[in-house]
Amino acid sequence: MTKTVVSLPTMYADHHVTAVRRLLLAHPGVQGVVASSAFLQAEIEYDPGAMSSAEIRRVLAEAGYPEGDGASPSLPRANGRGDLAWERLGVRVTRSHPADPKTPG
Amino acid sequence: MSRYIATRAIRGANLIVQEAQALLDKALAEKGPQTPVAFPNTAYYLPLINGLLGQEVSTLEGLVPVMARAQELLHPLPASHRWTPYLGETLDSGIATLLAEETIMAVRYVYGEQPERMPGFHLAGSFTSPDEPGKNGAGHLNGPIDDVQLRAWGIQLVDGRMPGFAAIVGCAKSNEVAVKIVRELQRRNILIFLAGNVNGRSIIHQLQEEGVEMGYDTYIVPFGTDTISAIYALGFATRSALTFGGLKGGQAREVLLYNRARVFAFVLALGEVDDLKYATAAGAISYGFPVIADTIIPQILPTGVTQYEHVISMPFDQIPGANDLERAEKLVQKCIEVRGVKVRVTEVPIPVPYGSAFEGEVVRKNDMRVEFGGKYSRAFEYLRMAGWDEVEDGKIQVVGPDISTVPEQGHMDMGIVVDVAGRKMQKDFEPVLERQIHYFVNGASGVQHIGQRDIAWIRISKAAAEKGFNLRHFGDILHARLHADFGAIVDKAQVTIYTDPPKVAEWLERARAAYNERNVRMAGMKDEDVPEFYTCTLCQSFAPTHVCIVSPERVGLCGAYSFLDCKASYEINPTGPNQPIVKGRLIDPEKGYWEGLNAVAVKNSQGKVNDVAMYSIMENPMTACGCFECIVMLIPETNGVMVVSREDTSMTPAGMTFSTLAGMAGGGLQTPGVMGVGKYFLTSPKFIKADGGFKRVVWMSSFLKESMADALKEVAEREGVPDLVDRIADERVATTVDELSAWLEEHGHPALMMPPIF
Repeated sequence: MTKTVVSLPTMYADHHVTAVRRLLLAHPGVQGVVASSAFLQAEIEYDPGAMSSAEIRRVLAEAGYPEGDGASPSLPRANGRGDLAWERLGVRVTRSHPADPKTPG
Repeated sequence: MSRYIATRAIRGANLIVQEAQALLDKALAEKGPQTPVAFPNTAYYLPLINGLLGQEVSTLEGLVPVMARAQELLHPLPASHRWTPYLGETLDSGIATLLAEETIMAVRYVYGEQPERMPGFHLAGSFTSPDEPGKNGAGHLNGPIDDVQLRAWGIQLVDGRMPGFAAIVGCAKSNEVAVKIVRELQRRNILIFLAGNVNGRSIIHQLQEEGVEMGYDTYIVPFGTDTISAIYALGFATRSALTFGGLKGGQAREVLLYNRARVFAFVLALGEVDDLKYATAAGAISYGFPVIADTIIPQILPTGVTQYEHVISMPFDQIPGANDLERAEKLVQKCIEVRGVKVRVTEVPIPVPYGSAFEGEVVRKNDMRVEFGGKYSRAFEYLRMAGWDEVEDGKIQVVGPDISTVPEQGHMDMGIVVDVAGRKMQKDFEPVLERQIHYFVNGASGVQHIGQRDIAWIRISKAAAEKGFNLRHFGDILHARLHADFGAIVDKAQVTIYTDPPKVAEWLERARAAYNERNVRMAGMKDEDVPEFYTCTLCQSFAPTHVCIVSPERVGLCGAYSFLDCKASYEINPTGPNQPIVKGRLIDPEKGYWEGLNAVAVKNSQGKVNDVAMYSIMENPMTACGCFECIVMLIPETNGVMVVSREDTSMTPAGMTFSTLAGMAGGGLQTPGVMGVGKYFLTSPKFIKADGGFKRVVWMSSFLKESMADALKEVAEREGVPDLVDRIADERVATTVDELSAWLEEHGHPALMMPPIF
């Protein structure tokens, strides 16, 4: 048996963990899967005679779980103009107060 | 505010909103925009969306603006190079997450993927989706809690018997820890919702493997094995505000504040916390529900959005304790402290766990050690007031053989006789206290109690017997609970358990004589005979403008508080929710107007209600909270009224189900022609007396007809139409006004010949 660890940035929640486990464990060559949505990684124990590491990655990618560097895909990030959401939402009382950084916690 | 938490919550929100949008787009393309979407048996549509946005979504198309709103609430990830505040952004992301999660669940229903399937799983008690094949959810988890159950739990939530709910997400360190956590919560009567998994394993799997019964009956509701299904807990919280708080959809701020102030809930995250769990937790925090994790995560300690701390980290292995069970106990204790849950625990000296959460536990024949009553034996319980010197407090006697003499799965006759004495004890309180025996005995884990008086049926499980539970412990339970719950009127209590056959027969006769005497006394108690009625403002913590007025001939609308219950409650707690009302001058005996009652209605409803007619549905009917057992509603075309019970989920001739009607009857509103009532008020001679009485009932849920058959037969005879119940339609024969009218004509219902009802 061989183990491989795959980074899966789209496996960000436990319903994806369930999907990844179901997907991999359906293959006879896969003996065990430990998948973590917190660390966006899956450790897969497999029989190299029945399935290759590349094949595992291909199966995952085809199901929407491509291997990545751990960064989640296509997320908005703040740029020089700040958070544009505030422009959309207009005046909001829930916007964090500048004094908040002084508050511990 | 923790940048780490903000980052992960905002990231999780962005991802789940993207996922929900993609799923919705797919469903719109595949199923069409007009495809109906609904959660089962609720009048609140998709409750969280309804509560927060005021949108009554009933088709896939209706979810499009919801997702647009969720998109608007999203924010970019906090920049790594600059420390800026994130609280508002994080809370927005939490709400966006909840909108997306409810959208996903709605779409899953469209695809038949909810309630979640789990082969071999059986729920204890009723099931949210009665249309699913098989009983007890056969192979399905619960899915969302329906309105029927929400209302059934309403009275327990408001009177403090059920102090709050715990939403547990993930998987415990071990099965043993999972069971311990749940037992600790059950012991405190805290409702438990289960969701989520860690590496594919959920606390639901753990409890299932350990044989823990899950379902409405045991206060443990398994929603699903992913975090998204935790949305049902927030939907439950939202509906609490709409049902009991008199709030309307779209009052987002009020819904959130209501929950912060009145719904004592918290999230317990077991195992690793991923982006979606952080995002969902941010949504829960917006409701004022703190989050406690058993892993190392950053904490948010200052108070603000929640009453106390927002996020607490208690790494399980670092909790001080001799073993994992002690650590689990401390973890639960911390949860209760952080949310400020008011818990009242009575220590009952028996060898099995004890708490109201075990009340609905079923002991199946195969798991049974011995039973009393039922098909093969008889059991009765009799509580009587005795002289001060006749009662030795704490004395418990077993007269006759113990259960060790009975073969496995055998049966024996038994009588429980309780003698109580107290300076404030009254003869009238005997049935009030005796009725509590059912709840008290049922609180023991592994003991099942059904019925009352001489139709009691009690089972002790093998597990309980193996732990040492025996007959004497019935006495221990009753002694402890009578003192704890009724200490103001019970100073001394002694219990005698009879199993010796001649003694059982002798005491059964004495008990039956007492039951008959009480029946006669109760039947003879009229509204006119007493100088005062009682208020019941128990539900005002949830429905601030509602006040129940309870009289000898009008039971409280929840069915739980009769006149004598209120009287006893007043003796126990003179400043409590049941206060005597001096009736004052009688204004109208037919409609039931008294000066004193009107004055109290104005005061206790904060000026919302000026007059209350005790005996009319058409003029100033009594208001209702949301806990009523039945709704009575005028059907103008038939010159009569229909009565729909909360157990009935079918369509009524009014064109609405119970859940929809409840929105009109509840929340402290006074609506002529609509009234929430306790089901035994139907049998009272004062039931809509001013409008023609019971003969006005033209349609009634079959559940009521069957479960109250004997009592209704007596009413029919009293009204002079012995076959009246057979002439009343139900959902099996009429679900529209046209069908109902035709049926009434065919059966010659007396309402058709009565004067116009208005």
